[in-house]
Amino acid sequence: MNRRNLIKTLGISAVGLATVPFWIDSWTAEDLPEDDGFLTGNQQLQLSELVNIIIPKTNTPGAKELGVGKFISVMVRDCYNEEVKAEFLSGFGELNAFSEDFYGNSLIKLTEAERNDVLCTLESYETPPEKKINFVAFVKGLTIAGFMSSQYVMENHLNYELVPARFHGSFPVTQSIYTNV
Amino acid sequence: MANINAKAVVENTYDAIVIGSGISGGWAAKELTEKGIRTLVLERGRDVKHIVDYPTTNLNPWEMEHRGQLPHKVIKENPIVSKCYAFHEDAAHFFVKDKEHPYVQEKPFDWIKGYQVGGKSLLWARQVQRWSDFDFEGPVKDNFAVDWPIRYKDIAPWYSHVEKFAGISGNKDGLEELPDGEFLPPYELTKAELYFKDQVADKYEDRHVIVARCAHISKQQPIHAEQGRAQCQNRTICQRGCPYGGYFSSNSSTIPWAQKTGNMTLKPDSVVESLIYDEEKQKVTGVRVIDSITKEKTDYFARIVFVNASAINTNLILLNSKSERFPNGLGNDNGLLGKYVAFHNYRAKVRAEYNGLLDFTTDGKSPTSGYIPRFRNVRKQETDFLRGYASGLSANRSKVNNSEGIGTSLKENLLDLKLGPWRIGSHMMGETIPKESNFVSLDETKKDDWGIPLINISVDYDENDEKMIQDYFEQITEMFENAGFTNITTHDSKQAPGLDIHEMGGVRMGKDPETSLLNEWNQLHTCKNVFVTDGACMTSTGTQNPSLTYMALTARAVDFAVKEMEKGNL
Repeated sequence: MNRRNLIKTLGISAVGLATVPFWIDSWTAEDLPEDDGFLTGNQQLQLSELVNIIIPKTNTPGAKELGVGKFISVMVRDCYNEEVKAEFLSGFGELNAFSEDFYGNSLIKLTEAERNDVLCTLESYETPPEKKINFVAFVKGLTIAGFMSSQYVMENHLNYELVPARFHGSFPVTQSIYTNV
Repeated sequence: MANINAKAVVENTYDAIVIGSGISGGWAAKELTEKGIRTLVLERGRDVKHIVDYPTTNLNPWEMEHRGQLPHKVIKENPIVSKCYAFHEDAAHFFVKDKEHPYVQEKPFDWIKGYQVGGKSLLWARQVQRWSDFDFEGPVKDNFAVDWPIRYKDIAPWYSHVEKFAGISGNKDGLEELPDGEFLPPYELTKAELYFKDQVADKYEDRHVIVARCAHISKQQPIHAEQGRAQCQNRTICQRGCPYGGYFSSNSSTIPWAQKTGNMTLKPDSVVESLIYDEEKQKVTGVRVIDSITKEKTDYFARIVFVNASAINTNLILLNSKSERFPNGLGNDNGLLGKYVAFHNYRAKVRAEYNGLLDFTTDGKSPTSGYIPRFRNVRKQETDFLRGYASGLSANRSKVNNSEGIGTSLKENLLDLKLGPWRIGSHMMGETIPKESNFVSLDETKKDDWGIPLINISVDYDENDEKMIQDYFEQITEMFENAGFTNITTHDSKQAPGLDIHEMGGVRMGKDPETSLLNEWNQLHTCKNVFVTDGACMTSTGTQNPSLTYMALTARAVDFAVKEMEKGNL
């Protein structure tokens, strides 16, 4: 897929081209995934970008690099009921609509500060009684779950061991990877 | 009779048949085969071979498709087993799904089942506390059920026998109410558990906090090496099956041991329909088996039969074993078969926090935790309810998850690992009083996939249980307050009986054939070549996790049975 089609797929207007994030240029045809039976390739891309905003790459991998988008897709497909699934699927459109209202642009075209503001604002909204989920809070929760249970984070940040082979009941906090609150 | 001819009878004849390969059936198999008895072990579920049939055992969290969670569809299709604390993606394959073997709940009862070689011994919580005479003497002292036909001295050597082989970690605490055993080194309590232990010791003469004894090899002995079992590696994902054999299961221990003798024939996928009673010989001559897959019926014959099908299924098999002599189920002259079923009351929890000792946390993982042996009504009646409760006790540092923000700030918050206060948890393990009104029976119309009547379960809590919950809340709260714990909250899960997975009784032991089904050797009073040594035999429940007692009773009964066979009495 070329850049033009990709831009079209993502629903970015020509006007916004100047502010299209850098990553679009580095994409190739392989980047637009196959329909996975739950999310279309387009939705997968949007999800992938959303988790990237929630936990970005810094000097360590972010949620996108760690495949958290795929994880969320599988989790929502298999582990939630139909109502939640439907709200999840329609959530992307609603998120962009809100973003348009708020900052006059779809989320992907906002600056980092604006995006964070949109997501934090939406996250703080109480879930209305007729809804099962707050889309942003829901995706954020799954992003955190997927990120924290990823191999990279568990092995490099959480000192995860499958086989500890020991137990010390009185271990100094100073020697642990934790600090006190 | 099904498929019967002289040749088949010879081919299908053994010295002994054991029904069930779970924690007690495995012991029956081991003890019988070691004594040279040619033994057929029947297991209604599939074969599960140690290590090779533990498909999830070495999976890291990220290697599981749903990171441990089960799909919505599975949970929706399995409302009962989904309530079990261990029914997750990593071990769901070891649980019976709700529709695979339905039952009738006359009253709500969550029956958790594991049909496979090894049964629920793959999945158990591995807690092994001995009974004392305060437990065995309970019924006669407090005037409920019937008197146990045995006392602690009768079973003590068999506890030792079982503990040495299985590998039990524990501390010699010197408590009369929770006798010491043959222990491998204990696991450590956490700093806050130790603190609580000291606080309780300071303030109460008769209350003790100990490290719970557990069936883990904390230090390998030659007998464990001989079984091919190594030291526990503190993985605490035991429910998947342990590739080290670090905890005791039939699969890692008794079944391969029995296999090695050359005296065991193990037949998985074999559902026992009934025991065959010979009216002329006035004894059981064998069992009728339905192949769980082909549904073909085959009879197997033996001099003795051990029924270790798990408490409720043992009741079911005996109730379904009808003959002219026993029209109401095998050994059921007094009409008490299936009655006086009891369980453990696991409804109540107390939680708290502790803000001291914050320089300490834990490192690695413990396969056990703290334990408070029963202190209520032990030496004298102190309350307006009978009996009492033991309590699990754990204290670990809470991990503070700061999930504020979006973007780099969120990422920093998540990876800034913080410890909060110690989080204390206690859960009640209450003795329940067996009653005639708590029973299981055969459903008159509904049948399972093998044409066997469904079991109807009618078991409930009573006023004694409710009072005990209140007392547990009050006493544990007081003990927590005295230790300076804060944010103390009490929780009643209101869970139905069954979820404790400690269902017991229905084929109770006793001295008198008029009021019990089994004698002091776990023999049916009225059909002496049938032994029941699983949870069904329990006259009362105690407060201890019961598996150790089933194992010890089994080894003891096998010893007796083989001696009787040698004498020509069986």
